[in-house]
Amino acid sequence: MKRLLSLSVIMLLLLTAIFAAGCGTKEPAADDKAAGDKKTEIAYPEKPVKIIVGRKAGGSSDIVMRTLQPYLQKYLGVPVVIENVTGAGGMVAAKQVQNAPADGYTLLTMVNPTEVLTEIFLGNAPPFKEFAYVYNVAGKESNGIAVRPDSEFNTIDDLIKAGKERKLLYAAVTGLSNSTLGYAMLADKTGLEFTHIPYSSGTEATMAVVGGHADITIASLMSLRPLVESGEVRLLTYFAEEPMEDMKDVERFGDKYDGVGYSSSVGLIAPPGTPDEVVAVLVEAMDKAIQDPEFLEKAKTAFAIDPKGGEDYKNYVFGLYDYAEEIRPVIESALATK
Amino acid sequence: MVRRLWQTDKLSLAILIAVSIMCIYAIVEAGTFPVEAGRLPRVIAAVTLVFCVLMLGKMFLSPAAENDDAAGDNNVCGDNEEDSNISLKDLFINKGSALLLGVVVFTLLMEYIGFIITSVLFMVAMGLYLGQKKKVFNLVYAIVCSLLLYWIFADLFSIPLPEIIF
Amino acid sequence: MQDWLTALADLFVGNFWIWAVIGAWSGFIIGSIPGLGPVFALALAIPLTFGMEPLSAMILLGSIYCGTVTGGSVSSVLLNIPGTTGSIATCWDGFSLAKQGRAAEALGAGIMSSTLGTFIGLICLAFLGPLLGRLVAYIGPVEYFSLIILAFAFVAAASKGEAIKGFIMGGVGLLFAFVGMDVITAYERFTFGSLFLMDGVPFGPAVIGIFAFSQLINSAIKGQSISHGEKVTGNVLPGVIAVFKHPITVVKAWIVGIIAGVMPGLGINIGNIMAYMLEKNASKTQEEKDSFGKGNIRGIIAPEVANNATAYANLSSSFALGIPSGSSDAILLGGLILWGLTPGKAFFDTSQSLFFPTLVWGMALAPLILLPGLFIIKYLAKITEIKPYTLLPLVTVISILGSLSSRGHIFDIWVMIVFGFIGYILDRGGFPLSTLVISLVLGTLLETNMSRALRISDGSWAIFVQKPVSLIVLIISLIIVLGAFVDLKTPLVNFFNRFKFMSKLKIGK
Repeated sequence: MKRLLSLSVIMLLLLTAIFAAGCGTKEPAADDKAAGDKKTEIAYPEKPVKIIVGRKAGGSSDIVMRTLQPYLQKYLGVPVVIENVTGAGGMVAAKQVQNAPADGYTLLTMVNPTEVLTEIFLGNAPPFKEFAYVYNVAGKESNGIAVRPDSEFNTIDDLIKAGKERKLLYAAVTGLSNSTLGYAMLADKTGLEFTHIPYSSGTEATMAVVGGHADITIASLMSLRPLVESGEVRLLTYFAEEPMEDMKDVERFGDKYDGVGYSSSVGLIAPPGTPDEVVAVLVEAMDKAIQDPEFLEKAKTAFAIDPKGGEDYKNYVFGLYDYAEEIRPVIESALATK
Repeated sequence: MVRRLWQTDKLSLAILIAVSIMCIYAIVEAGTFPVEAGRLPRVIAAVTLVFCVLMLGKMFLSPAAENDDAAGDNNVCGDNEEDSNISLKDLFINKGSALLLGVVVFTLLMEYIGFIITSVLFMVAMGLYLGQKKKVFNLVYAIVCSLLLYWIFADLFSIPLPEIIF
Repeated sequence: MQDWLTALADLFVGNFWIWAVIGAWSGFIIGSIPGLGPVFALALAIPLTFGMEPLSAMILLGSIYCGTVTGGSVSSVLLNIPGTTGSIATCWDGFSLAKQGRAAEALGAGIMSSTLGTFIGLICLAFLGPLLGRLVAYIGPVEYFSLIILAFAFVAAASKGEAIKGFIMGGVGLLFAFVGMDVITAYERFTFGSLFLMDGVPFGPAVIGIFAFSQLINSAIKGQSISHGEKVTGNVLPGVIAVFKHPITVVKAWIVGIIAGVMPGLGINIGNIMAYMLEKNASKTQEEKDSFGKGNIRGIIAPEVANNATAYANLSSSFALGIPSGSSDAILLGGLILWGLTPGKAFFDTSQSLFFPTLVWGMALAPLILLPGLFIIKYLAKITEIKPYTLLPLVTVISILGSLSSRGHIFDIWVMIVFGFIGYILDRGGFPLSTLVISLVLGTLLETNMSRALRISDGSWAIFVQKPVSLIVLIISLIIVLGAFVDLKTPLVNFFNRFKFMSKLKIGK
């Protein structure tokens, strides 16, 4: 009897809950429609905006977003929350945002060219072309080849010379990342073959070089800079598209081999179908945030800023698709090597 | 032998069979992997399978097997003073399974009606089921705890919980 | 020395100590919530520190770090749920004591051990930091593989008595560890097409399932309060004193903790379990060994000293090389770089800046701040008297939230449920779950380092005995395994005899 009573209470509560849920979902949808139809001032933002970072807290894309967060919050007028959704090299996060409501309250941190390359060469990514492009924050960064300070290699030629005598050990990050592109270029231009020693992160791979367990590694300049400064590693070359100011005494890969190079970037995109008005509000806030002197001061030591809003950002990413197709054979052969 | 089978510790038997099946699956599946990816899984699965068979053999051959207790020493949860030789019915039809079922329902429901309502429902139901007599207290307690947890996790720590819908 | 004293004065003159107070306590509270560990707390706190000056920020973060690792023992002892993955082993004896109504004593020992562990860890970081940091880099795949074999040797030795069950569980744990994308070939294994399993079985939810949820199922069946209806007696003081009565336990745990901290990828997850296993193995008699898991105070001291020592040893590679060896120090390092500080040899140089010594003093202050908490704990221990129909539903919901919080996927709750069920069944069958969890952590490390070493040697297995360090470690492993099983002259025969003997005893009753 008692059981029956408690059971009926639960059923009652459950029904109420479902009813409430049903009512709840209808209302905001109706609001959106009204706003869309009239094309009047949209009521955005009204609640906290969530930025999803598909990588671990403390990683370079995470640092970019966490540096930006207080300033975006300031100019957007609502709290901005950063959420790390890790898994499958950022693709779990990407798929989550792809399926999130396109209302501008959920944004994704896009790391390029990795994300585009993942979509093209691994195929487990959502179609990034369909997303709404908001803003590119950091850019003009690239990867570099790091060796031990006491290494026998001083130039790429030394590397080629040694590579012809023995198979060199290359500490690599598993799967596809920005450094894959660097490796592909290195292998293509020098014709060298390396034995891959795979690691799950760039820091582990760098550690292998510091400890002398591998000859070279390719990592982001952002993470290598402090290590170069403290004398733990030496840069052999770097893959930037243009010469970098703080890399004057390092030979640029592109200078030696017909200008090849690439730059990496970190930006914000929104789920497919996000209204243009919402994106416009975000771009405006980002424009202000990125020019905030306090932000500039903080970003100075950590990463290079490369502001691109809305269409500019979209064109840049779409350009990456063409670029990836151009270098398809090089990448494919790099992915095929063990 | 058949009679012996029913005399052995059925729980251990079930576990060993389950582990063996898992190992065989792993060996077969790992055969399709690239060499470096399948090498160690195959070896480990094979070794584990050998140990399972060893233990199965011991259970059947040892006359003491019917009273096999072997438990005790290394019980991590340390809460099982009773003999582990229990019937499967005792093992599965009890309040613990009800809790398990409750959590399964909780997880399924949470995506649709949000965390707070699910949590209140779960706590009220579980409290009543486990023998809470003060019904009003139970309800108030459930509501207060759920709201508090929601506040701590969703607001304070900004962990995304399935949203409350009103 | 002069520098260190000036730095200590700075700590108080500059009011930096306030941050240690805030950090230690907020960390302690977050750490005591199951599923929320140091990584989470640090990621949460980092944006808050952006407006602060670097030293205050680092002291705040360092204290939070210390607080979370210490706080993990609270829910381990009171609820048998590891508060952080660093307090898994604390459950085994801590909760047994709580069941006897001695929760306060267990907590006293836990917090005191953590304090000692922190101090020793910090001394290590302060004076050996640059050296330890270097050491990290020199452990290559070959040495790493051998060291993991050593860890497995400890585990095998600890499972003596029911070796076969232990080995089976070890195998199962390893097989679970192989789920996900293989680091070497980037090939997806046993994922059943799920994106959520690509990075492997999520460790946090799996641990909550195996140790917490299975335990909740058990207590639902029992229907008793944690203290089995007994009044909570005792005080924190005997626990605190017990720590000082076992100096050798402390030293051993400390060494294990430092090693686990220095090895990249190990961290607090494994340090505490290894310290526990070592302590259990060191028992002189079988009775002594059997007392572990039934409320031996040494079973709390060892893991709690080790996890705090690990936490600080972990920092040394971040500070000395600028290369993090775990997730939590990666976040700290991220902050460091953001504030324009350069890790490296200069970081430790006290003649140039007092930043580092002041930071160390600040972090040393944290556990001291937590000590007064010992007096509150007496009341906290009353939780164990609460009736299960009140406590159980709440703790279940907390476990669910804890599983959800690590990655934010509902999928992870399913992982908790599945592992909870597996844990419950295996525990009832008397299979050692500790072995399963250790294998789950070490499995990937074992395999990837083996494959790396074999790639370096071009497929030759001889590389593991050609490198001297690796050879020595392998020989030690062999000695440990042989040493554990040597008193059973013919292991299998003896095993059978023991079986018969024990079953006769049971019948006699």
